[in-house]
Amino acid sequence: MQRLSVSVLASVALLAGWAGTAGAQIREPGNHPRYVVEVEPHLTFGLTDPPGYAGGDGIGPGLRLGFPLTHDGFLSKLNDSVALGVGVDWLFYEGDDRVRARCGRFVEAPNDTRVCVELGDGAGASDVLYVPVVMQWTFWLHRRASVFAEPGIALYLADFGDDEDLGATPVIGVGGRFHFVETVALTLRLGYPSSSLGVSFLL
Amino acid sequence: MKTTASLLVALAGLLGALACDDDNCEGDECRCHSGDYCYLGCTGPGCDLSCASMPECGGICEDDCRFSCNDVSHCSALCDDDCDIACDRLSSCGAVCGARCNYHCAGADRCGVEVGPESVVDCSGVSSCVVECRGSCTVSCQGVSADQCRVTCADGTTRTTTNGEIQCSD
Repeated sequence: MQRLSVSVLASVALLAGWAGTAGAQIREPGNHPRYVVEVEPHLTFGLTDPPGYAGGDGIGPGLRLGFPLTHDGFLSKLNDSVALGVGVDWLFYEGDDRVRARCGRFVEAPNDTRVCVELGDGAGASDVLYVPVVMQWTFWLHRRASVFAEPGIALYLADFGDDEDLGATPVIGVGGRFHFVETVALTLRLGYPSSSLGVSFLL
Repeated sequence: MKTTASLLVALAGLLGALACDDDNCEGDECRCHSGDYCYLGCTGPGCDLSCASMPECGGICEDDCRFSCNDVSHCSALCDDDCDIACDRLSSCGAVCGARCNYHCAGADRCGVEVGPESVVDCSGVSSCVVECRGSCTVSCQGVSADQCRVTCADGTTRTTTNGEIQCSD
Protein backbone atom coordinates (compact mmCIF):
# COMPACT_ATOMS: atom_id res chain seq x y z
CA MET A 1 0.00 0.00 0.00
CA GLN A 2 2.92 2.34 0.75
CA ARG A 3 4.29 1.69 -2.71
CA LEU A 4 0.90 2.47 -4.20
CA SER A 5 0.69 5.76 -2.31
CA VAL A 6 4.18 6.84 -3.36
CA SER A 7 3.47 6.02 -6.98
CA VAL A 8 0.22 7.97 -6.94
CA LEU A 9 1.78 10.98 -5.24
CA ALA A 10 4.72 11.00 -7.65
CA SER A 11 2.39 10.78 -10.60
CA VAL A 12 0.17 13.57 -9.32
CA ALA A 13 3.22 15.77 -8.74
CA LEU A 14 4.48 15.13 -12.26
CA LEU A 15 1.08 15.84 -13.76
CA ALA A 16 0.77 19.01 -11.71
CA GLY A 17 4.14 20.18 -13.01
CA TRP A 18 3.17 19.27 -16.52
CA ALA A 19 0.02 21.36 -16.20
CA GLY A 20 2.17 24.46 -16.01
CA THR A 21 3.57 23.95 -19.51
CA ALA A 22 2.36 25.13 -22.90
CA GLY A 23 -1.09 23.84 -23.65
CA ALA A 24 -2.16 24.06 -20.04
CA GLN A 25 -5.82 24.90 -19.59
CA ILE A 26 -6.40 24.26 -15.91
CA ARG A 27 -6.95 27.97 -15.28
CA GLU A 28 -9.45 28.29 -18.12
CA PRO A 29 -12.86 27.27 -16.70
CA GLY A 30 -15.03 25.51 -19.24
CA ASN A 31 -12.24 25.00 -21.76
CA HIS A 32 -12.60 21.27 -22.29
CA PRO A 33 -14.47 18.93 -24.63
CA ARG A 34 -18.26 19.17 -24.44
CA TYR A 35 -19.65 15.68 -24.43
CA VAL A 36 -22.95 14.01 -23.64
CA VAL A 37 -21.51 10.71 -22.51
CA GLU A 38 -18.07 9.28 -21.90
CA VAL A 39 -17.86 5.66 -22.99
CA GLU A 40 -14.90 3.86 -21.46
CA PRO A 41 -14.33 0.18 -22.14
CA HIS A 42 -11.45 -1.06 -20.04
CA LEU A 43 -9.51 -3.92 -18.57
CA THR A 44 -10.13 -4.08 -14.84
CA PHE A 45 -7.66 -5.18 -12.20
CA GLY A 46 -8.48 -6.23 -8.65
CA LEU A 47 -5.27 -5.28 -6.88
CA THR A 48 -6.66 -5.80 -3.40
CA ASP A 49 -8.80 -8.54 -1.95
CA PRO A 50 -12.45 -8.08 -2.87
CA PRO A 51 -15.16 -7.59 -0.23
CA GLY A 52 -16.18 -10.65 1.74
CA TYR A 53 -14.06 -13.74 2.15
CA ALA A 54 -12.94 -14.02 -1.45
CA GLY A 55 -9.29 -13.34 -2.04
CA GLY A 56 -6.45 -12.98 -4.47
CA ASP A 57 -5.87 -10.74 -7.44
CA GLY A 58 -8.54 -10.24 -10.05
CA ILE A 59 -8.72 -9.31 -13.70
CA GLY A 60 -11.55 -8.90 -16.18
CA PRO A 61 -13.40 -6.65 -18.60
CA GLY A 62 -15.42 -3.60 -17.67
CA LEU A 63 -17.27 -0.62 -19.01
CA ARG A 64 -17.81 2.80 -17.48
CA LEU A 65 -20.23 5.46 -18.70
CA GLY A 66 -19.89 9.05 -17.58
CA PHE A 67 -22.71 11.54 -17.84
CA PRO A 68 -21.72 15.18 -17.27
CA LEU A 69 -23.74 16.89 -14.55
CA THR A 70 -22.01 20.20 -15.06
CA HIS A 71 -19.15 21.39 -17.25
CA ASP A 72 -18.27 24.02 -14.67
CA GLY A 73 -17.32 22.22 -11.51
CA PHE A 74 -17.06 23.17 -7.86
CA LEU A 75 -14.12 25.54 -8.33
CA SER A 76 -15.01 28.66 -10.29
CA LYS A 77 -11.41 29.60 -11.16
CA LEU A 78 -10.34 26.18 -12.36
CA ASN A 79 -11.22 24.10 -15.37
CA ASP A 80 -13.11 21.33 -13.61
CA SER A 81 -16.30 19.40 -14.26
CA VAL A 82 -18.50 16.88 -12.50
CA ALA A 83 -20.05 13.76 -13.98
CA LEU A 84 -22.11 10.83 -12.81
CA GLY A 85 -20.29 7.61 -13.52
CA VAL A 86 -22.01 4.23 -13.73
CA GLY A 87 -20.53 1.01 -14.91
CA VAL A 88 -20.04 -2.67 -14.68
CA ASP A 89 -16.86 -4.62 -13.98
CA TRP A 90 -16.58 -8.37 -14.10
CA LEU A 91 -13.51 -9.68 -12.36
CA PHE A 92 -12.15 -13.17 -12.04
CA TYR A 93 -10.18 -13.71 -8.82
CA GLU A 94 -7.87 -16.69 -8.62
CA GLY A 95 -8.54 -17.09 -4.89
CA ASP A 96 -6.19 -17.66 -2.01
CA ASP A 97 -6.87 -20.81 -0.01
CA ARG A 98 -4.15 -20.06 2.51
CA VAL A 99 -5.52 -16.79 3.78
CA ARG A 100 -9.27 -16.47 3.75
CA ALA A 101 -11.85 -19.18 4.10
CA ARG A 102 -15.02 -20.36 5.72
CA CYS A 103 -14.71 -21.78 9.20
CA GLY A 104 -14.39 -25.56 9.17
CA ARG A 105 -14.85 -26.23 12.88
CA PHE A 106 -15.93 -24.22 15.91
CA VAL A 107 -15.40 -24.94 19.59
CA GLU A 108 -17.36 -23.48 22.48
CA ALA A 109 -15.60 -20.65 24.31
CA PRO A 110 -16.43 -18.78 27.54
CA ASN A 111 -19.63 -16.75 27.79
CA ASP A 112 -21.51 -18.75 25.16
CA THR A 113 -19.18 -17.58 22.46
CA ARG A 114 -17.56 -19.83 19.92
CA VAL A 115 -14.15 -19.84 18.37
CA CYS A 116 -13.18 -21.07 14.96
CA VAL A 117 -10.28 -23.50 15.36
CA GLU A 118 -9.98 -24.83 11.86
CA LEU A 119 -10.41 -23.22 8.49
CA GLY A 120 -12.69 -24.94 6.04
CA ASP A 121 -12.91 -24.61 2.32
CA GLY A 122 -10.85 -21.74 1.12
CA ALA A 123 -12.05 -18.87 -0.93
CA GLY A 124 -11.11 -20.43 -4.21
CA ALA A 125 -11.56 -18.92 -7.60
CA SER A 126 -14.47 -16.57 -7.76
CA ASP A 127 -16.19 -14.23 -10.14
CA VAL A 128 -17.22 -10.85 -8.81
CA LEU A 129 -19.54 -8.50 -10.66
CA TYR A 130 -19.35 -4.86 -9.56
CA VAL A 131 -21.85 -2.17 -10.46
CA PRO A 132 -20.23 1.10 -9.39
CA VAL A 133 -21.98 4.45 -9.15
CA VAL A 134 -19.58 7.33 -8.61
CA MET A 135 -19.25 11.07 -8.73
CA GLN A 136 -16.42 11.81 -11.13
CA TRP A 137 -14.71 15.13 -10.48
CA THR A 138 -12.41 15.95 -13.36
CA PHE A 139 -9.67 18.56 -13.63
CA TRP A 140 -8.79 19.41 -17.22
CA LEU A 141 -5.10 20.15 -16.80
CA HIS A 142 -3.95 20.34 -20.37
CA ARG A 143 -5.28 19.79 -23.84
CA ARG A 144 -3.72 16.34 -23.65
CA ALA A 145 -4.31 15.47 -20.00
CA SER A 146 -7.04 15.41 -17.41
CA VAL A 147 -7.20 13.85 -13.97
CA PHE A 148 -10.12 12.86 -11.83
CA ALA A 149 -11.21 11.59 -8.44
CA GLU A 150 -14.16 9.27 -7.96
CA PRO A 151 -15.90 8.58 -4.66
CA GLY A 152 -18.97 6.39 -4.77
CA ILE A 153 -20.50 3.05 -3.98
CA ALA A 154 -20.72 -0.28 -5.76
CA LEU A 155 -23.06 -3.21 -5.55
CA TYR A 156 -21.28 -6.50 -5.94
CA LEU A 157 -22.28 -10.07 -6.57
CA ALA A 158 -19.60 -12.65 -5.84
CA ASP A 159 -19.99 -16.14 -7.20
CA PHE A 160 -17.87 -18.79 -5.49
CA GLY A 161 -19.26 -21.71 -7.46
CA ASP A 162 -21.25 -23.25 -4.60
CA ASP A 163 -22.15 -20.02 -2.87
CA GLU A 164 -22.95 -16.40 -3.63
CA ASP A 165 -22.48 -13.15 -1.79
CA LEU A 166 -24.39 -9.96 -2.56
CA GLY A 167 -23.47 -6.68 -0.94
CA ALA A 168 -22.31 -3.11 -1.30
CA THR A 169 -18.89 -1.58 -0.86
CA PRO A 170 -17.44 1.94 -0.92
CA VAL A 171 -15.65 2.98 -4.09
CA ILE A 172 -12.72 5.34 -4.27
CA GLY A 173 -10.61 6.02 -7.30
CA VAL A 174 -8.17 8.47 -8.81
CA GLY A 175 -7.10 8.47 -12.39
CA GLY A 176 -5.94 10.30 -15.42
CA ARG A 177 -6.60 10.53 -19.14
CA PHE A 178 -4.02 11.02 -21.84
CA HIS A 179 -5.90 12.53 -24.75
CA PHE A 180 -4.70 11.21 -28.11
CA VAL A 181 -7.11 13.67 -29.64
CA GLU A 182 -9.60 15.88 -27.86
CA THR A 183 -12.30 13.23 -27.59
CA VAL A 184 -10.30 10.01 -27.38
CA ALA A 185 -8.08 9.25 -24.41
CA LEU A 186 -6.13 6.51 -22.69
CA THR A 187 -7.64 6.29 -19.21
CA LEU A 188 -5.92 4.87 -16.16
CA ARG A 189 -7.77 4.50 -12.88
CA LEU A 190 -6.39 3.35 -9.50
CA GLY A 191 -8.70 2.60 -6.66
CA TYR A 192 -10.76 0.25 -4.61
CA PRO A 193 -12.27 -2.25 -5.21
CA SER A 194 -10.75 -2.21 -8.68
CA SER A 195 -8.37 -0.34 -10.95
CA SER A 196 -8.54 -0.15 -14.71
CA LEU A 197 -6.81 0.75 -17.96
CA GLY A 198 -8.97 1.61 -20.93
CA VAL A 199 -9.88 4.02 -23.67
CA SER A 200 -12.36 6.85 -23.25
CA PHE A 201 -14.53 8.15 -26.02
CA LEU A 202 -16.11 11.52 -25.27
CA LEU A 203 -19.24 11.47 -27.42
CA MET B 1 8.67 16.53 -26.25
CA LYS B 2 9.33 17.45 -22.62
CA THR B 3 5.65 17.44 -21.81
CA THR B 4 5.08 14.08 -23.43
CA ALA B 5 8.03 12.61 -21.52
CA SER B 6 6.63 13.94 -18.25
CA LEU B 7 3.29 12.37 -18.97
CA LEU B 8 4.86 9.03 -19.84
CA VAL B 9 6.83 9.07 -16.59
CA ALA B 10 3.62 9.84 -14.70
CA LEU B 11 1.80 6.98 -16.40
CA ALA B 12 4.74 4.68 -15.68
CA GLY B 13 4.48 5.57 -12.01
CA LEU B 14 0.82 4.74 -11.97
CA LEU B 15 1.40 1.50 -13.84
CA GLY B 16 4.14 0.63 -11.34
CA ALA B 17 1.56 0.84 -8.63
CA LEU B 18 -0.48 -1.74 -10.50
CA ALA B 19 2.25 -4.28 -9.75
CA CYS B 20 1.64 -4.12 -5.99
CA ASP B 21 0.88 -7.45 -4.34
CA ASP B 22 -0.93 -6.98 -1.07
CA ASP B 23 -1.84 -10.60 -0.48
CA ASN B 24 0.78 -11.76 1.96
CA CYS B 25 -0.62 -12.25 5.43
CA GLU B 26 2.67 -12.98 7.16
CA GLY B 27 3.94 -9.82 8.76
CA ASP B 28 1.54 -7.67 6.84
CA GLU B 29 -2.02 -6.87 7.72
CA CYS B 30 -4.60 -9.21 6.32
CA ARG B 31 -8.10 -7.84 6.42
CA CYS B 32 -11.69 -8.93 5.94
CA HIS B 33 -14.47 -6.43 5.57
CA SER B 34 -18.01 -6.36 4.23
CA GLY B 35 -19.58 -9.57 3.01
CA ASP B 36 -21.36 -12.11 5.21
CA TYR B 37 -18.53 -13.99 6.88
CA CYS B 38 -14.80 -14.42 6.65
CA TYR B 39 -12.13 -16.35 8.53
CA LEU B 40 -8.50 -15.45 8.19
CA GLY B 41 -5.67 -17.88 8.65
CA CYS B 42 -2.05 -16.95 9.01
CA THR B 43 0.98 -19.11 9.69
CA GLY B 44 4.24 -18.04 11.27
CA PRO B 45 4.89 -15.34 13.85
CA GLY B 46 3.96 -11.70 13.54
CA CYS B 47 0.67 -11.90 11.71
CA ASP B 48 -1.63 -8.88 11.68
CA LEU B 49 -5.27 -9.76 11.07
CA SER B 50 -8.35 -7.62 11.17
CA CYS B 51 -12.08 -7.88 10.63
CA ALA B 52 -14.48 -5.00 10.11
CA SER B 53 -18.10 -4.36 9.30
CA MET B 54 -19.55 -7.79 8.73
CA PRO B 55 -21.81 -10.24 10.56
CA GLU B 56 -19.27 -12.99 11.25
CA CYS B 57 -15.51 -12.94 11.15
CA GLY B 58 -12.51 -14.52 12.81
CA GLY B 59 -8.85 -15.25 12.71
CA ILE B 60 -6.53 -18.16 13.38
CA CYS B 61 -2.88 -17.37 13.88
CA GLU B 62 0.23 -18.39 15.78
CA ASP B 63 2.73 -16.57 18.00
CA ASP B 64 3.06 -12.80 18.27
CA CYS B 65 -0.15 -12.22 16.40
CA ARG B 66 -2.27 -9.08 16.35
CA PHE B 67 -5.96 -9.42 15.70
CA SER B 68 -8.58 -6.68 15.71
CA CYS B 69 -12.30 -6.93 15.19
CA ASN B 70 -14.53 -3.89 14.80
CA ASP B 71 -18.22 -3.57 14.03
CA VAL B 72 -18.63 -7.31 13.59
CA SER B 73 -21.59 -9.15 15.07
CA HIS B 74 -19.74 -12.33 16.03
CA CYS B 75 -16.01 -12.38 16.22
CA SER B 76 -13.66 -15.26 16.90
CA ALA B 77 -9.92 -15.43 17.55
CA LEU B 78 -7.56 -18.33 18.08
CA CYS B 79 -3.87 -17.75 18.56
CA ASP B 80 -0.79 -19.07 20.34
CA ASP B 81 1.52 -17.06 22.63
CA ASP B 82 2.14 -13.31 22.85
CA CYS B 83 -1.00 -12.24 21.03
CA ASP B 84 -2.92 -8.99 21.07
CA ILE B 85 -6.65 -9.34 20.52
CA ALA B 86 -8.88 -6.27 20.34
CA CYS B 87 -12.64 -6.37 19.88
CA ASP B 88 -14.74 -3.21 19.65
CA ARG B 89 -18.39 -2.55 18.96
CA LEU B 90 -19.80 -6.03 18.47
CA SER B 91 -22.27 -8.57 19.82
CA SER B 92 -19.83 -11.25 20.86
CA CYS B 93 -16.11 -11.77 20.86
CA GLY B 94 -14.86 -15.24 21.69
CA ALA B 95 -11.18 -16.02 21.89
CA VAL B 96 -8.72 -18.68 22.93
CA CYS B 97 -5.11 -17.68 23.25
CA GLY B 98 -1.86 -18.83 24.82
CA ALA B 99 0.60 -17.30 27.25
CA ARG B 100 1.11 -13.56 27.61
CA CYS B 101 -2.09 -12.78 25.74
CA ASN B 102 -3.54 -9.27 25.73
CA TYR B 103 -7.29 -9.40 25.22
CA HIS B 104 -9.28 -6.19 24.98
CA CYS B 105 -13.05 -6.14 24.57
CA ALA B 106 -15.14 -2.95 24.52
CA GLY B 107 -18.61 -1.89 23.50
CA ALA B 108 -19.80 -5.49 23.28
CA ASP B 109 -22.64 -7.62 24.50
CA ARG B 110 -20.64 -10.76 25.32
CA CYS B 111 -16.91 -11.09 25.72
CA GLY B 112 -15.43 -14.49 26.42
CA VAL B 113 -11.84 -15.59 26.45
CA GLU B 114 -9.65 -18.43 27.60
CA VAL B 115 -6.11 -17.21 28.19
CA GLY B 116 -2.78 -18.76 29.03
CA PRO B 117 -0.34 -17.77 31.82
CA GLU B 118 0.76 -14.14 32.31
CA SER B 119 -2.12 -12.76 30.31
CA VAL B 120 -3.92 -9.44 30.64
CA VAL B 121 -7.62 -9.02 29.96
CA ASP B 122 -9.48 -5.74 29.73
CA CYS B 123 -13.26 -5.50 29.37
CA SER B 124 -14.97 -2.12 29.30
CA GLY B 125 -18.50 -1.03 28.53
CA VAL B 126 -19.77 -4.56 27.95
CA SER B 127 -22.80 -6.47 29.13
CA SER B 128 -20.80 -9.47 30.26
CA CYS B 129 -17.21 -10.59 30.30
CA VAL B 130 -16.23 -14.15 31.14
CA VAL B 131 -12.58 -15.11 31.46
CA GLU B 132 -10.96 -18.46 32.05
CA CYS B 133 -7.32 -18.24 33.05
CA ARG B 134 -5.06 -21.26 32.63
CA GLY B 135 -2.37 -19.64 34.77
CA SER B 136 -1.62 -16.25 36.22
CA CYS B 137 -3.64 -13.43 34.74
CA THR B 138 -4.93 -9.96 35.43
CA VAL B 139 -8.47 -9.04 34.45
CA SER B 140 -9.72 -5.44 34.50
CA CYS B 141 -13.39 -4.66 34.11
CA GLN B 142 -14.94 -1.21 33.77
CA GLY B 143 -18.58 -0.44 33.14
CA VAL B 144 -19.63 -4.07 33.02
CA SER B 145 -23.20 -4.93 33.97
CA ALA B 146 -23.60 -5.82 37.65
CA ASP B 147 -21.32 -8.70 38.59
CA GLN B 148 -21.12 -9.78 35.00
CA CYS B 149 -17.35 -9.70 34.93
CA ARG B 150 -16.57 -13.28 35.88
CA VAL B 151 -13.11 -14.79 36.13
CA THR B 152 -12.31 -18.45 36.66
CA CYS B 153 -8.76 -19.20 37.71
CA ALA B 154 -6.75 -22.32 37.00
CA ASP B 155 -7.52 -23.69 40.47
CA GLY B 156 -11.24 -23.60 39.66
CA THR B 157 -12.19 -20.63 41.83
CA THR B 158 -14.50 -18.05 40.27
CA ARG B 159 -14.77 -14.39 41.23
CA THR B 160 -16.97 -11.63 39.88
CA THR B 161 -16.87 -7.85 39.75
CA THR B 162 -18.50 -4.91 38.04
CA ASN B 163 -15.73 -2.34 38.14
CA GLY B 164 -12.36 -3.51 39.28
CA GLU B 165 -9.48 -5.87 38.85
CA ILE B 166 -9.22 -9.58 39.48
CA GLN B 167 -5.99 -11.46 39.52
CA CYS B 168 -5.29 -15.15 39.29
CA SER B 169 -2.00 -16.59 40.42
CA ASP B 170 -0.27 -19.68 39.09
